[in-house]
Amino acid sequence: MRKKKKSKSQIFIVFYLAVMAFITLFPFYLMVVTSTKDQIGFIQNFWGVQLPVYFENYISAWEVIRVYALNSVKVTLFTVIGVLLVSVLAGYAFAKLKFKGRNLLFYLLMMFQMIPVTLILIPMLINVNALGMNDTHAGVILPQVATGCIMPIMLTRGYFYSIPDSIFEAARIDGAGELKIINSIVLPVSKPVLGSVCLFTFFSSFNSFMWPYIVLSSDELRTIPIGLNRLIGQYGTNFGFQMAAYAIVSIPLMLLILSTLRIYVEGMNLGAVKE
Amino acid sequence: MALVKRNIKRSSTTLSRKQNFYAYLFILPAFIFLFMFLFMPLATAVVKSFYRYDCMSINEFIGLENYRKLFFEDPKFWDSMLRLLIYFVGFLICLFTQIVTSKLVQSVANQRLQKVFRATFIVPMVVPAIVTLLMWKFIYYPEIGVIARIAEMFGVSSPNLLGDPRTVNVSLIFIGFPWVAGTNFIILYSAFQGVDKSLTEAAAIDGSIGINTFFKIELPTILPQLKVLFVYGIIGLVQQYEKNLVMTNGGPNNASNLPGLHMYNVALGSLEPEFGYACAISVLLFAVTMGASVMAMRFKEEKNA
Repeated sequence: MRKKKKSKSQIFIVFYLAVMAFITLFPFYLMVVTSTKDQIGFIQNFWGVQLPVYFENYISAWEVIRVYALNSVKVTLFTVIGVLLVSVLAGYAFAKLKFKGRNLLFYLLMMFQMIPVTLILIPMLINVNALGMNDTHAGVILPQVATGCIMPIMLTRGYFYSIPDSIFEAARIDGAGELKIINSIVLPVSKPVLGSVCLFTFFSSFNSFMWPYIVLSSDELRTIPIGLNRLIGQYGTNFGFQMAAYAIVSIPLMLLILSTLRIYVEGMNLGAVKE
Repeated sequence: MALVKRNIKRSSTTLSRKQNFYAYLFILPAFIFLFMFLFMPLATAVVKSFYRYDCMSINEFIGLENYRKLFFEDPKFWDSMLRLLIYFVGFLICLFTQIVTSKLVQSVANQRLQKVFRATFIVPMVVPAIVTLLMWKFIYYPEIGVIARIAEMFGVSSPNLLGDPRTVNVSLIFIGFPWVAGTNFIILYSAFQGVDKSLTEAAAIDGSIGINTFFKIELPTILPQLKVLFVYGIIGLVQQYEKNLVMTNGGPNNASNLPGLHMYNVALGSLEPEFGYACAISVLLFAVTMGASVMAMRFKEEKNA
């Protein structure tokens, strides 16, 4: 009796989730299908697949977003490197070195984390302007490292903390310097946390819109999200072309997350909700 | 013996002095970044809020004039503050859907099927937010968009959802429906996974079933996570104006204007940029957000006690 009831509710659950999954994925279906249609196909055959597939959209879309893609790669790469450097050093100091004011400085760090960044974008712009970095990639990268390094510092600190102290003492007695310790002891055992820091930073930097949108005014410096936002203005209702551009950007990211799902989810759990 | 001890002591103090040096050296980059790009903007916001400032030629101290204007002469701003209430209700509905859906994914009996659903709700979250927004612009597009096509099938004339002041806010909240794919899903899903099985089993023996167990045992167990999501959601309400900027830029007729967007447009959306005034708005919104989050955390602690 009980079992029967259970399987009935299972059917209901799976049905509900299937509907939800369908609605979630349907826009991506439309994206791919529309991206392979010419203008006529788009009007005559809105929902289905057009055969033969019209690939020209991808070629012309790539021509347009290539510049933006290169900029995005540059900005993202430097942001990831910056965040990694800053957070490994600071995380190690907070986890394994004893110094005056350690707790105080750590509290200060946590205070910084509470700052709602999108509300101070305008004064940030004033500052970046004053530093002469308006409309440069440095003006995008450096503030992104600043806002993006706090969470990674917490993550690396937590992870390094769990490495046993005796290893460090032994290394110090052998005369190893702190940088050597980081390089040959800490880094090799910290791949999981470094992996998730890289992934988080990569996605948040690659996808960030507001800050680069405000800082970069030259078209040839713009990153992908801003470039995509411009397409809709320039190419009006040529949806096949626009969808091809969206697909070029999002499908590689989806494949990347699909292959690194485990690292990403574990990283989330490391950092997100440990109070 | 004493000599050895003294030697050890001396070497340990030089060691700790050395550690002091390296520690400060290692945290220095982080704090330089934070000082330059987070603390300085905050200071700038406060200072420039007392100036008439256009980031070019005009830079004139005017005392509290910006704040007077903000509190007494800017109904557009206060309208947009009030509009946050609609978005708050929208946020609650989103959160509710996320909670229910992640619980249901976690309770799918067939493990392989569960994994498929899990991936389905995690993978789309890496799609750049801008792509999601532009996709929904396409969905809402009058006459040739997705909703227009569906309306056409039912013989209804196609509505211009983003162009009508009555529907624009609900349509903006509806973006991303069913709102499951995202960070919140991962947090909630793993929270439900972490609930002690013996608790729910004991409840089942006592005759508690499904929905009852969910409300009486599982929700209270994951309360810490729920509170975090709630607090972040509240803070996010004031912070997230990107969506409205991209989709409607506050239109039509300011019907979807938000406080943050107003701040943005005062400085960057007009021909006479008022950076000083934008800084005043920034300071006020900052204070409101911090106040709200402190209150939310207080509430959190009280409930914990």
